[in-house]
Amino acid sequence: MNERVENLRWQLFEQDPMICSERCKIFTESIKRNAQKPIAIRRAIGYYDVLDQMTVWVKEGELIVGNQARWPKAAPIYPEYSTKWIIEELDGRPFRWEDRPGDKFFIDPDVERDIRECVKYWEDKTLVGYLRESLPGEIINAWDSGIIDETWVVGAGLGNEIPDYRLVLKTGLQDIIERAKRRRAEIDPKEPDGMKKIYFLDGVIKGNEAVVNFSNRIAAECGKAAARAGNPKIRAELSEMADICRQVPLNPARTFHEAVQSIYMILLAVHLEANGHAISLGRFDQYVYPYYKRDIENGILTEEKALEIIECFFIKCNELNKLRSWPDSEFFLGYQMFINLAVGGQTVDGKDATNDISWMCVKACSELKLVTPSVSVKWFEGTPDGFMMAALEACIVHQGGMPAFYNDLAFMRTLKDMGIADEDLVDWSPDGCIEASIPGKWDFAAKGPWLNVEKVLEITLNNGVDPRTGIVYKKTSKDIAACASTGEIFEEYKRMLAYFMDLQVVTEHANDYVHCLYDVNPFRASLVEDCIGRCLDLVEGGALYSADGGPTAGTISAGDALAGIEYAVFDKRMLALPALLHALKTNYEDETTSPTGPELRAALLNKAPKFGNDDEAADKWIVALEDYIGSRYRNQYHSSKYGKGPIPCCFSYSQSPVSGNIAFGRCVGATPDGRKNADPVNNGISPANGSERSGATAACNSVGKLPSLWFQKGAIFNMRLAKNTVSTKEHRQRVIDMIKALFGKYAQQIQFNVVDNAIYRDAMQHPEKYKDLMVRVSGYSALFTSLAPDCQIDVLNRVEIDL
Amino acid sequence: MTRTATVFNIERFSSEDGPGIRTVVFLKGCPLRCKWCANPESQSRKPQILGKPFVCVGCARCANICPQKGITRREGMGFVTDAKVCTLCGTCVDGCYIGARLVMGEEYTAAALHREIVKDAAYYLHSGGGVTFSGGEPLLHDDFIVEYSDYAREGNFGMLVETCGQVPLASVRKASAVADGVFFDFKHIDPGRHRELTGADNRQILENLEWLDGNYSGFLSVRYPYIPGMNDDPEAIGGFIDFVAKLGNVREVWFLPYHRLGLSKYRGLGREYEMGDAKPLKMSDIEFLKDYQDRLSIPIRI
Repeated sequence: MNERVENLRWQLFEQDPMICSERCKIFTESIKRNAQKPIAIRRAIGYYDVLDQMTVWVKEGELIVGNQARWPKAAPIYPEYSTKWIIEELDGRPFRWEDRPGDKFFIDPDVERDIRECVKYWEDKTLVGYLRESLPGEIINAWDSGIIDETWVVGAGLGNEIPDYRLVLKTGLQDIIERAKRRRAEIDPKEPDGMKKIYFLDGVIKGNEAVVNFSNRIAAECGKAAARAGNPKIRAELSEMADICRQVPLNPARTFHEAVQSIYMILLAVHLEANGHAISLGRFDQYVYPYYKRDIENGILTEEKALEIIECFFIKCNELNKLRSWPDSEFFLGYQMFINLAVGGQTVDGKDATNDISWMCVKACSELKLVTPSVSVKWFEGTPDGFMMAALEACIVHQGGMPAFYNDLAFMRTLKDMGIADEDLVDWSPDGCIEASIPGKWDFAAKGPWLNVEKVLEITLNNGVDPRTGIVYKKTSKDIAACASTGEIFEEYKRMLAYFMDLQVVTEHANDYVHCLYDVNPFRASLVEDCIGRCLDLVEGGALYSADGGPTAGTISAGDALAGIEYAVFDKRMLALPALLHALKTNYEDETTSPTGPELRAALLNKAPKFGNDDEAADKWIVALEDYIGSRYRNQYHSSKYGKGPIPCCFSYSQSPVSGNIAFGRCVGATPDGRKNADPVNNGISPANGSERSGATAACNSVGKLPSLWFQKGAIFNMRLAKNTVSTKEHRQRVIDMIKALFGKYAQQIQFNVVDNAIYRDAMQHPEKYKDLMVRVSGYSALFTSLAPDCQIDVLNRVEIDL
Repeated sequence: MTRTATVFNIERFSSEDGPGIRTVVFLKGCPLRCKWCANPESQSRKPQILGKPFVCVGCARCANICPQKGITRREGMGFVTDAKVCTLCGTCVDGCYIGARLVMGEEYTAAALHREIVKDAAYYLHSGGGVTFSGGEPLLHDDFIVEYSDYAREGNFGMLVETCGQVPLASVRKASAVADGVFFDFKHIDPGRHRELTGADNRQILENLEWLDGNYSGFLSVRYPYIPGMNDDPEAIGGFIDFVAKLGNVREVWFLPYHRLGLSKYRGLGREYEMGDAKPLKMSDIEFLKDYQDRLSIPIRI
């Protein structure tokens, strides 16, 4: 990275995340003025006013410009989604934003005054309020008890969209405005829904004009900064930026620099319209490469300059931010915006699509070591090993699990099965964490309540009662204590899952209903085919493709729990089922039983079969569970858009819990996988902590058994690699070969955490957390925690190897 | 009767014992007793109970439930099984909830072993890996290895053997005829010193190495465990290098620095660790051995 990029990167780290009230204030005032206008027009005017009145700024040295708030990394407030928590948290319940244990935000007194004033208007008009008033009591109970949870969807805006960047680069927003106008002229207002269609199209036109106006304001700001600049080089640069911002996104991009600026402006503008996160970048390398190639051929761009622009772009992505309520933050810790950027993959005729930009993105990822964007390598049989090597090496340097590796083979199989057109399959891109989307054609890659899979097991084992609240949900058909096999318990568990999945689906239908009434966002809808044609917002069914489904947490832990029951009760006959249930109720703390609570827990943790070891005794339960949940989502349910145009309008299985496995774990009592009350459940489809003891290939084989056909919304597989297992090219090649073999089994994704000495030191202090931590030293490997302390120290001195 | 071998460990995704992704099968029994041996549980050919003293929580349940009353607590070693009375019934292993006791050594037929090994076949194929027989001294199970080689050939993956060389020439002939590579350990050039350090002189070992050099067409690698105070003096190293220099078919020399990772296993078997407090070495400590490169035409690896 050069000096400019280094400076910009440093400024990013120095900046505290602030709260900005501008959007909140301008939007609220605008909505008050237009409160009785149709929703599409009301929100579009509000959007226009925000983009017209908010502060715009540019920083010296920026090659990509545009701002979301007063300051970089500051979060705007979107009070229309939820307000209750805003006041509560400002009052210190549970924390003021600057006092949070994580994801802190700082706020100036005048900003706080503005926000407190604004939210008064919204108090009885929020999406959360509307939705909760629309739901049956049993759903509210399940929501408040942490079994299903819709907060992230309704309390913070719908997101998970990938706009059609390719189209914007090619034809500009001008073309969208013209298309909307043409479509509007075709509508007969005397026909049913004619007026509604016109409102929507007027919103589209207004929304696009808002963005063009915003870009012109930034251009003007660049011009002013240029006039101020003493250094002629900086002056020239800023003048050029002004020209670029006047050209794009209104018009087609003419150069690489314009293309990247245009993409950033669209990304930023979508973030400013609504509060949803996971607005991703799709196949960025494919979109901008033609411009890069042409500029290089014309001699107006160098590789160095292109990398510099990409790095400036990456840094700008990190300036976007979002304030979530504290409970919601706990699901998404780390100021995450989930802006995913895919590289590599294949062309529509099955050729390798890797290009210079793919390599530059990987390089930028390792040089900048930033949280955003999440760089994702799409692998297929034709992806060059050299590119995989570069990506793995970037991942080792980055140390934050990036780039992650994605399998075209698995995702394309799933999407094809869902009815996605052949020509669109290769364009699939991970959105947010991992959810598969077709850029510019799919509405929300993820949308729907969380499901706490292990909590449902706990309720099943309590005959349909949540032991924490005493609420009776759905009685099991027989007393669990009387079950004669694990299979019988599993049948009851499936019925209980079906019950809560039904509640999820009902929630989502109600959720769509209130969004259709109160949260129409015409600008971003206009960037997804065929919203203009149908004159429908995304949530109304405007997109070509659509499937709902929120994240789930704890499937692996729940399957391990079934394996634990089978091991202790039916296989080893350590104790009877009622005694096991007693041990769970007493949180494995009753020492008067035989075996004692702690003994039973030790056996379940250390001796019972666990997923991640290529052991059928555990894997069979996880496979059966995943198959049940996945096929039920796909085959048993329709989303609210079914029959309105999009396909397939089913639900889909997601196992990308972010940090939700910790937050959700807190609501779950002790479980037969040896988990104690409130401990985290497993993350994604990664083996539960401490249970992966048979090496990397065994873990891969367990993962490879899962029915990934159902996983359109992705399943995260985290793998820990000791630093010295990737210390030489030869070692790294083995990891790449392992990825390829894993992907041959239709696993979807893998991401690596490279372990350094800090982890080993923590393992010495907390051996119980690291039962599976391997250490490899010249031809010898051992489980770290089984070594003598003095050996452990020796190992610490040996394993840290610099690349 | 079906032929079996005693396996005490199957390690998957091993990255150090040959090319590609490999599964290493550790066979029990070794004719040598090297003072620095990192796998003391590999030495006896019979299965035995190994305690994990640093996992053990000291509950004494194993001692209480042992039908033979053959488990006693020993200072610094935890609960140690008396091999003389142990019937390998497994009661203490099943009964240890924390998982601090293991049976070391299980009989496998070639077919049963293959069921384990073939689980990673996809990885071998992608990486050019396969199976490596280690030990103990795997050539004590030469007929078993020959029998297993049919499975490897059929599965289209490679097979390597490691050996300390202290076996009859016939065993070396048999195993090398079916192995794609042989990793040959070399402990000391001097027969007397070799006997002091390992319990046997090196006559048979050197003969076997020379035979392989003259007759084996697969990949022949010689490995030298570099042990402070044992075989690290310039005479020993020089003698070793000179010996290898005379050979024509060895493809590489690999020095392995001393480590102490076997220590807890000595304690778990109730044995003293003969290396005392000898300091473990870093890779960088033996980097200087590359200086010997000018005396060899094959690469020296560390």
